[in-house]
Amino acid sequence: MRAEVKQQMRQLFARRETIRFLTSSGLQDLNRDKILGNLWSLLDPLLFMAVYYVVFGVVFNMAGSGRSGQFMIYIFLGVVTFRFAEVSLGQSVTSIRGHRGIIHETNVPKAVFPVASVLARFYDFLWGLLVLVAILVATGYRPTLFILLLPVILMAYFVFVLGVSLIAADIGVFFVDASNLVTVVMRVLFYLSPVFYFVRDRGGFKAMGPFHNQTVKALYFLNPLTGFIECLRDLLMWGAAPSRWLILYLIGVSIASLVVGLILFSRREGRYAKYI
Amino acid sequence: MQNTSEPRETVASVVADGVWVGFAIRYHLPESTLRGAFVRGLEGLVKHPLQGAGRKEFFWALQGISVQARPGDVVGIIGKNGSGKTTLLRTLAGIWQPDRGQVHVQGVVSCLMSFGVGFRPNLSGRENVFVNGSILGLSRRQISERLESIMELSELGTFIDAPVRTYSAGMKGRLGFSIAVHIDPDVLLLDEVLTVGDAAFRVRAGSILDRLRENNKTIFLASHNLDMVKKSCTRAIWLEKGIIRLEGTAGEVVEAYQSGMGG
Repeated sequence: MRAEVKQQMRQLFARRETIRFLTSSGLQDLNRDKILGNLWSLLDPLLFMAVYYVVFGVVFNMAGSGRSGQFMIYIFLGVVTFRFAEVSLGQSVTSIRGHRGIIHETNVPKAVFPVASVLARFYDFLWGLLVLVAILVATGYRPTLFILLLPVILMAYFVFVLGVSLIAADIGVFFVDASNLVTVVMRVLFYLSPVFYFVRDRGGFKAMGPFHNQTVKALYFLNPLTGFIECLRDLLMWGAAPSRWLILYLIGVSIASLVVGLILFSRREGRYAKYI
Repeated sequence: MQNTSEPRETVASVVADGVWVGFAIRYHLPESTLRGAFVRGLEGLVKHPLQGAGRKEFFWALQGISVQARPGDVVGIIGKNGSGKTTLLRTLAGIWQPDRGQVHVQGVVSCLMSFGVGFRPNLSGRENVFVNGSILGLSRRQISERLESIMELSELGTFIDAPVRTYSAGMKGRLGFSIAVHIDPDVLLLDEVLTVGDAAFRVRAGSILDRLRENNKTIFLASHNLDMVKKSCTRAIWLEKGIIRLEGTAGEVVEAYQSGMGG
């Protein structure tokens, strides 16, 4: 097991230049023909935020009156964070089949394709966060020392999404309709994650009814996306310390998913070419 | 014709030993789906738990192929469509894993199958040289150093900065070939690609093959162009339905093939 993980890591490290080319060319290829070009990395989450804000902030008035500015930021952070996982998974699940041409022409480590997809989306994600921080600073936010945890959380989140993306990519090779399944699962997870509602009393927002029950709340936090979104809100919006058990749990889940993904690739990538 | 019976000291750079490669053909299921797997699983539980996953037929594209080639060999592979030429090349390249038997290849393998399928249509030819070159195993520095020479060989001129989606098949093929030969491979596998481009390009491509052979590279060339096989190959293999029908000097094999075909 350890040998398999090491073998994949070594392969990917040896191909780091290829991954970089694939990542940057993927970003360019995607945006080259659009009038607004790379601006879409920012516009995409902003537009999603606007939609959810209109629905949940204005129509349902979930945040209560007078909190709309902060609720917008609240949703924006949730959307940006969630979109990273959603889009990464959606692209990774088809990334091996999408590169059929290359895979049938040369013997390249297959993991470079999902890794490049996830890296490109991580780049978008970081841009989104940068915009968020800019807005926060402009509105008078001063970071606390807990901000030092930010790289740890971001790293863990990247590792988590990468691991799950590798697993999705592997399944996507053998089952063509896995991408449909990913779409549905991500839709369900979207509503099961606190993107536009409240699970904890923080910053003046009150937790919603079901989350007053501690068991429900604990079960709810088993979803790593909930954990990552709430951790990032703690650090960036509330200036609070996330629970250390939550952080340990997230790091554990991240490493576990990456290990599973790498092992799957190590065991089965030799067979991919025949299935796609 | 080159003399291949002369004993050489060098070790074989490519060895295939009793290689079998098979493919599952799913007549009723065009592609495997999760839904299909689920339904079959249920059926299996209810009806025939011992019967495997649905109707599948197995097709052996290569049936016990053994090939050896040494540095300096140019091996032609001829045979009808569907005889296993491309499968053999892909197996040597490590793209298909043999189901039985073994393949050993020493050194860097470069493989050119079709007309630049790996290209990204929205990127320019130049950008694609970097992406493709990197996928084929070159470092950024190596690509930069060879860019001039790749551009020259591909004869694209100023079109190198146009998006690849605007290229003709011939232009894509020339660019793909130019990148592949600049990988500086120890083993080069070519599949019917030298037919792209006009006569002038073919002449230059042919001279590159000669240079590679003189530099002790191993080349496999699958082709329907018997004249080219006769001219540029030192040896040839005649494949038929996944087995080797005949192996020998290029002249011999091509003649036997032509008379066998009634031509």
